[in-house]
This record gives sequence, structure tokens and C-alpha cells, in this order.
Amino acid sequence: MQKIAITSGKGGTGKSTIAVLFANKLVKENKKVLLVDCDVECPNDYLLLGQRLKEPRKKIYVKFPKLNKKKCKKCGLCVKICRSNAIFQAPRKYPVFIKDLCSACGACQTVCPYKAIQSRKEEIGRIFVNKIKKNPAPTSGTGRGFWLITGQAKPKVEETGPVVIQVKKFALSFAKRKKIDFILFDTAAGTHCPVISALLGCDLAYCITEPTPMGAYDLDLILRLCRKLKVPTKVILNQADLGDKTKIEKIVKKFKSKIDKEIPYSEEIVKLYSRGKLLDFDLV
Amino acid sequence: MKICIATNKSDFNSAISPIFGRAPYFLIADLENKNFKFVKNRATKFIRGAGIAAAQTVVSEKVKLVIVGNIGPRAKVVLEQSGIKVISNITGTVKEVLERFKKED
Repeated sequence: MQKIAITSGKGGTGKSTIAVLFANKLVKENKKVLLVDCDVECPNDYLLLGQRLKEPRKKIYVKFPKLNKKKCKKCGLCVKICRSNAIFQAPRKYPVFIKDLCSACGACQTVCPYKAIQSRKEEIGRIFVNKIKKNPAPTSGTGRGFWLITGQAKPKVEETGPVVIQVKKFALSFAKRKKIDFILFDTAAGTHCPVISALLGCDLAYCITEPTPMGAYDLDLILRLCRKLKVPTKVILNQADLGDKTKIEKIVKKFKSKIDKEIPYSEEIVKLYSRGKLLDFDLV
Repeated sequence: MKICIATNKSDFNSAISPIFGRAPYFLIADLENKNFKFVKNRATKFIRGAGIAAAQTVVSEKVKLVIVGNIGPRAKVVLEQSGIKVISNITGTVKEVLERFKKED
């Protein structure tokens, strides 16, 4: 099983569009494909595929810390260990947990010598599974479909890394059961926690960008992140014929990555996209 | 009384900081003993939760009042819960703010 991430530093470069088309292309090559929408704050692969999210297959919970005041000796170790600055303690007072900063890592519970920190389960997201039945286009080769797993964070959840981690875990065991050949992770834009969680452990990351100054700047960031995470990269240049790509080429060279594909601007894809018939477009 | 003023630089001619969590320095002023010191804010580079970390620094100095240009909701709540008064929406140099504070006391 190949684990491939579709990512980009910059938003709006065409991650989801390319992820969906790439999944379809692999299906036509007779591969068993699972597409995982890891953009949990705003998943939209299902929309591109004309699907609805109905009953969640699974709910995602994390354990937030909760103080047992009877056991707490106000030692302050939990405040020192917290990397999210989610614990505050005034002198000689009990520590206070600030939930929207907390990533539920559990470090405070581990470090507390008096076992005064208990946990409280709370739902932070949901997982949906859709079966994309065969390609509706008449050109479709095999008529075989693919699976879509969608992760969705609950509104107001600020720390969505843990949602992605659990979506991935679910997807990997799902893929194992279904004997999937290619598992595609469509990540969020940016280089923050939920993106890192999605990229970790992938065999390859396609970094989508566009020939604009901002596209170049954010490509540098995402390539740097992938290098740090030891994930090999290939670059896909979208709307390649519109801007100036010298900057992109320079950055790609700097990171010893390569431009795998240049996708020219196409009005056809825009039209199909807006009609919800994206799968009619052939990505070569 | 000990008060805290968030500042841009570590001197009295510096402007008061428009932000709390990522203010570069805090002036800790002990007004009775005429004891003044600038404390570096370790939270300036934090991506998230800078306000809480900065509040932690300020609280450990045992001040009773914080003067700042603006302050985030989380930092404000934890400071006030610790019994520290917060005055925001203040501009000017550190010197001016101190004099104004003494006058209005």
C-alpha cells in the first residue's frame, strides 16, 4: 500500500481538485483507491464528488484534563510541562486549564506526581465514509469505484491536529481491511499541526503550487516541512502557463525535488467543476 | 503597590506596547520602594497561547495592576481571576504613563 499526501503551503492551489482527479486516474488504471479528506476544518472532497455526509461512521473523542482539587498540591509541574500554554496558575492558587488552547496531549496527566489530573472525554470530530460508485463519465474504464473517508472537526474546536491523527488511524485500518493499493491524504493548506499530522508517515507528498510569488513562498515552506518530516516530495505546478515559474524552479532545485507535472489553465475544468462533473475531466 | 506596564523597549522613553501577550518587555514598577525593572517576555515567539504565558510571567512578579495598549480575552480573564486589575486602551511613553498614573492615583 502506497501512502501519498496531496498538500500545498498555499491555499487555493487546487489540492482537492487534483486529489479527486488523481484518485479517479488511479481507479482507471485498475487500482484500489482510498481518498482521505484530512482538511478537517473545511472538508470538501465530498462536494466535488457530488456526495452528502450522512451518518458518521465514527465519532472522535479526546481526553481533556480535569483537576481533582482534593489531590492537587499546587506544585506547578503541569504548568511547566505544557507546550500549548494551556495551563495557567496564579501564585498559591490551583492551576486553570484553558480548553481551547489544549491539544489533549496528556503531558500534564503524566507528569502530575499526585495523580490530581483526571480526564474528561469530549467529542471533537466525526468520520464519514462514502463509496464513490463508478465514474459517471462515459469514458470511465473499469466502472470500479473508490472510497472516500472524510474527517470533520466540530465547529469551535481550535486544535484540529488530534482529529487528523484519528482520521488517519481509522483510514489506515480501513485500507488494510479493503486491501487498498493507494491511499491518498488530501491535507489542509498551511504548515501547521493538522498538516503535519497528515504528512507524517507518508511515502510521498505531492506539493501543489502555482506560478505566483505567494505560490513560490509557500512552496518553500511546505518543502522545508516535508524535508524535516523526511517525506519525499514531488511538485505539481497548477495553472502553469499563467505566471512566471522561474522562482518555483529555483526553489524546487534548492530542495532537490522535481516538478512532476505542469497543469495548464483550462476553462473546461472550471466549467466541469462548477457543474459538479469534475470526474469527466481526465488528468493526464 | 507593584504595577506592570507592557513596553516595546527596555527603557522609560519607549512607547507602551499596543499588545500584551507578545509585548517585548514588561516594566515591573514597585511604586513605594521606587524599584523599577524591565523583564523580558519569553512569550513573544509563541505561535499560540502567548497571552497565557505572558500572564504567567506577570503573575509571578506579584503585581496588582497591568497597564497595556490592548489585551486578549484569555489573558484578561486569567489576570483578573488572579486578582490583578487590567487597564487597557492606553497609549504614550512609559514615562508619561507612569506620571499620569501617579497624578490620577
